Amino acid sequence: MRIEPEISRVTIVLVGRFNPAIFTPAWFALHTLLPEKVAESAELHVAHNQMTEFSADWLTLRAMTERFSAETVQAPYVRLRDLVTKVFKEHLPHTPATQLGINRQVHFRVKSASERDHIGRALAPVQPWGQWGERIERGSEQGGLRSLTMLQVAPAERAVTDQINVTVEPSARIGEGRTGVYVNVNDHFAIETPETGSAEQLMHLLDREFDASLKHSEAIIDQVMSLARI
Amino acid sequence: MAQSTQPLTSQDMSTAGFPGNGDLGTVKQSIVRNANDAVDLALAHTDADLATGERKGDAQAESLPASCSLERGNRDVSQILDFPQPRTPPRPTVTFHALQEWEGHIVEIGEMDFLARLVDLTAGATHEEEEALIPMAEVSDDDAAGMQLGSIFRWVIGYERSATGTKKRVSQFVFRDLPVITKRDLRDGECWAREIARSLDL
Repeated sequence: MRIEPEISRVTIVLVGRFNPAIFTPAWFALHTLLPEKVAESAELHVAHNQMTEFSADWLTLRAMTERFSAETVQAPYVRLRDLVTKVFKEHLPHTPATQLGINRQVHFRVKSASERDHIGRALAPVQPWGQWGERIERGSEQGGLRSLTMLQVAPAERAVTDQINVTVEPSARIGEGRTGVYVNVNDHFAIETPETGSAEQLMHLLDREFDASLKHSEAIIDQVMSLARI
Repeated sequence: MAQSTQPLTSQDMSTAGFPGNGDLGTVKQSIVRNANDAVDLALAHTDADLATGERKGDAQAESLPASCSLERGNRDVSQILDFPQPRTPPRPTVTFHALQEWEGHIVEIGEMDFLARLVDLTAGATHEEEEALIPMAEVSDDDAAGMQLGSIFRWVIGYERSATGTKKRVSQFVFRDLPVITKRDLRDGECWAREIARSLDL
């Protein structure tokens, strides 16, 4: 990426039917999915039969009855794939799950508000908005792009249920509301069989697609970054 | 782009609904029941969004105006109670962005260092093209203790940022904990091998 992101995150999301109560740091340590030292120092935010959430070293994990997510802001991201794959391939292969998301998110800073406006105007020109657009044109003080999501269906000849969603927004976390940009690429995979064992099927997809997905997502993010140069 | 705004966060968690008197057991049961109901309701509030993307609140502070937020989620619940989205977890204090990444495997282990063959992932290489002699001091004590010939690791050089924004260049070795090979993997491997053999007319 041509601009080094200040926050760089990868999240793996599964949609299916889960038992949140089991996803505790102790369970991860018991199955040697996390080192004992890491599990012992984990911060358990919520432990409930409807939702579990904890942070441990490089990992933040959240499990709900219909959604599981694991994320990290620390490279190398491959350890996130290794962990999720081990959980659902070795320990919970019979979990019914139908959807997988590989999400790549960055917050990056541009040099000035006008550079950020350049990105916003390039992605969402104000001219088609007529007289109202002219009022916005005066600069970011007057308004501009708040949120834009682009969708690609069946990317790279994948199934029609698969899609890539790319969202660009002003960053709410860096740049003091003026120079930060947030980009999220959601690479979404879906399978048609919500039956026992489908999680293992998704893990094969994750194993096969993870690296390529991140590479492709970073190319899209880099393209958005390229629009900052005036 | 438009200026981003701060999230709306104020919540009034009143205690209305708990019994004012009665025995302690009843009160406890009531509290637990109400707490469970509250969690169920709060989670139901998010059920409409089950795609595999990041929830908005996870990655970005909520920035829609209040008038828009009423349009989202379960309207019936919204009209009665205004539960927050599940709390965004506290972020790890350190972020680490890779500038250069290699995958390596160990071919020789000495007392003070180890020899590894490397694939330059940043350059898009798919085969080992480099070899490096790496001091044992570069890896953690636990990793050094578990190191074996053939161990696979990632070597990442990048920028580490603290919560306060301090940035420093860091080199890190992470040994991979790979999933076991399953029967399905072996089956897939056999299929792949047959396909290759067929394509080569063997």
